[in-house]
Amino acid sequence: MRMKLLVALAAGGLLLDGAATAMPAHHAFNSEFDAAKPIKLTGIVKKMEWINPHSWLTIDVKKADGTVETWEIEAGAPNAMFRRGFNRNSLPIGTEVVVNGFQAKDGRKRANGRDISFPDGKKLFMGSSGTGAPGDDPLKP
Amino acid sequence: MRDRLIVARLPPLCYTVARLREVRRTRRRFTVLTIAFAAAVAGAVLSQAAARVVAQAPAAAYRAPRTPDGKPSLNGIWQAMNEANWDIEAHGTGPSPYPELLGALFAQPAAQGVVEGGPLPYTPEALAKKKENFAKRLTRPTSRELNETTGDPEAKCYMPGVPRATYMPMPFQIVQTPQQVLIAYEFANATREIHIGRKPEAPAESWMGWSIGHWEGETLVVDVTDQIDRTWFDRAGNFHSSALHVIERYTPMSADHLMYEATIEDPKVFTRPWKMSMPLYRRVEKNALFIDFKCVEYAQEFMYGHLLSK
Amino acid sequence: MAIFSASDERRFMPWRVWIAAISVVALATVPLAGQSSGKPAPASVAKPVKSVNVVKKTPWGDPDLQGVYTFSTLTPLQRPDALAAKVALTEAELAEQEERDAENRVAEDRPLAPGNPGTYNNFWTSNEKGRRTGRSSLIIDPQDGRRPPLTPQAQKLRDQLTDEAAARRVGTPPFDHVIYRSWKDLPAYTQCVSRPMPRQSQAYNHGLQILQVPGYVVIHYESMHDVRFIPLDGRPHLPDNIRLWNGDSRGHWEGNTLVVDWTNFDPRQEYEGAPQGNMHFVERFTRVDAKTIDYEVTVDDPTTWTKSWKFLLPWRADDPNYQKPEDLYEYACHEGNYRQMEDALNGSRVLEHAAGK
Repeated sequence: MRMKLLVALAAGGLLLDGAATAMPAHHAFNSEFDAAKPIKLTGIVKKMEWINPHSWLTIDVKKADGTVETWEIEAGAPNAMFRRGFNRNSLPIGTEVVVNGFQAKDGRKRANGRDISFPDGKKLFMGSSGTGAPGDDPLKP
Repeated sequence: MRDRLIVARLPPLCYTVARLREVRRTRRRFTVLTIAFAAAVAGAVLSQAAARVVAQAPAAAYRAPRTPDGKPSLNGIWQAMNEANWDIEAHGTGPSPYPELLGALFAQPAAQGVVEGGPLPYTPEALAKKKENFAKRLTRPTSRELNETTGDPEAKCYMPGVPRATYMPMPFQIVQTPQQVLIAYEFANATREIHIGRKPEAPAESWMGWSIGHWEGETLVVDVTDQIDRTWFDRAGNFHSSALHVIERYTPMSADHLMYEATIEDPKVFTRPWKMSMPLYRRVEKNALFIDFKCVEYAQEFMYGHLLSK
Repeated sequence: MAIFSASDERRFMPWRVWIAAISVVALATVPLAGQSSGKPAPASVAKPVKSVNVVKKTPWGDPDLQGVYTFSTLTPLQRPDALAAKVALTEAELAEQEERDAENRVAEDRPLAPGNPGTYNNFWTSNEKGRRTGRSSLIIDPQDGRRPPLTPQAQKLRDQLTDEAAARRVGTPPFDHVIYRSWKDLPAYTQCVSRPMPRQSQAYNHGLQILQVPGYVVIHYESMHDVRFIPLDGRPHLPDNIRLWNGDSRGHWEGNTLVVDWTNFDPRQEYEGAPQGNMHFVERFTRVDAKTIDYEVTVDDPTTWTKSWKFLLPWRADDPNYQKPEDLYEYACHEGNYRQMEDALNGSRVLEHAAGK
């Protein structure tokens, strides 16, 4: 039992100072995604799951040789988005998106989508300013 | 009728009635008139109240204590006492999934079922799916696709959805305020908010659905929509699609029990709406307490055991 | 039903008066009885009094703490070294700090250092960052705004944990990784089993609702859809062998403050990096104004910290994101966690294989 407790706490990663950090500490990114495997994908939205703890975006990526690969992209938590007025209709099937992120450690076609944007460079869901600064209304064009 | 009403409902005035007989032959007519006048007034008050109760809740003779905003109080810790979680339809006894390991433990008891009016009206394809659900109810989810399509969500400690959460074999607690009724279920510590007096829209599907409630006399009526299609009605594999629409009715029947009714509509699975009903009983023991049943830790080996270090 | 003889008549002479009086009262109440359903009986509902000093009360007379709140704040738990002796910030300092916070939000989206796979672009959570309180730290006792030292046994435990985790590290920095042998090597929160209590800093979904009914205060947290039922009837705590991830709470009123005694934590639960089995919290909830509840927690665990300590975190109802009960959405963590668990554990299997383990 003591060993189990030690192990549970070691995993905790809560040996931090307890300050409110910018990085969502709920997820061990290092455990799933590999910082040595950056990816950049352009694909068509096949499915958008507005679920917790992360949303998941499934996209069809057309490769140079014409074949299509299906990738699952891990995105942010949806509830904060709902509070800003987004909902299940906000990212329609068929939308083209560009994803920058890091691939799953086990090499499968999954990635953490750090940056998700439209092909013209405009950030997904963001208005033209969209720095996230206080007073900034990201929903205004 | 009025006299009977008085005698039955006004013990303090029984004396008055007896006295009335005694003084019938007295010369104190003023006394008699006073009594008659009081009785008439009391009768008017009561028959008005009785008439009002009858008009609003045809089935419920019981009038629950009121919350400060004048609604029947559903506050408390409640629990279903039936076998619906095994199988909501009428069913016989049956073995546990692993009788060679468990013996008679977790074998299935028989029950007359909580579904009203005969077998569930599945479409032929849906009935085949229900049978497949049952056959594969304890398939271990060794892939994401398998996890999303197969297996009893109860085994995975997934939130049970509505109505199954109501008749899990564990208590739940109702917290009733004017603008909202919160229901917390011990199983998986599932919670749901029933919004009263306003109709916000669901941003997306959820496991416990989106609930809008209103009062009809003594009954709380709840419209539940936008439930994710991965919950079941029971362990027998009875299921629904994302088109599910549930209308619940909670009616206090006595100080310590409610009648729960749920009408189910799902045109993608059933050929017509159908209804279930059951009493819910108050947990009346001293210091009854909601205690979380956070069961994720008990589901992990079942779900992720294939991913362990060798 | 007693029958009285004529000889009792003299004793009951005034009963004529009683009957007359009852009739008059009954007549007066007939109109109200006729409207009895749906409307509150006027006498039992306290009417709000427009007075600055009257504390808001529930209809049954308890102080009213109800509302939807956020506990988000950018004030750190512990006072930063740079602010050593400074308990509170001036208005100017607070404004300057908030400007820096805004800059930090932008900085989060800049390119990452090697080895850091990062988080999601800031848009997902920038609206949830919260405000600073006027203090330099949430901790108000000890005076230096920092947690007291760990006990020797707690420090030893922490060192053991660090060593144990280090033994499971493979690869060369900055691309090194910890191996997870099973789900138990992941934090309870990543497993969607539970999240530490009491809730303090959180990057997002830091909303909750306080509801009150006679005999209970109920706190419903969006995160993990946790709910705490706090009985007010003076009953004892659960027996010591019942240990819960969210502990066991008992409340009572001291004036206008709800005081909650919180015990019976599962020893696998952890708070501030320490196992929670011996922890005892006393929470104090006091309504400060229409939009603020002062939430003060005394943390006591002689097996972990050399003395007890206290933090103060205002729960605010002034955040436009957290106004109504429906602003708290379902957080079905475990139900959506399959891919994450699969990736974390399978990734470790791949690393083990590569490392020849």
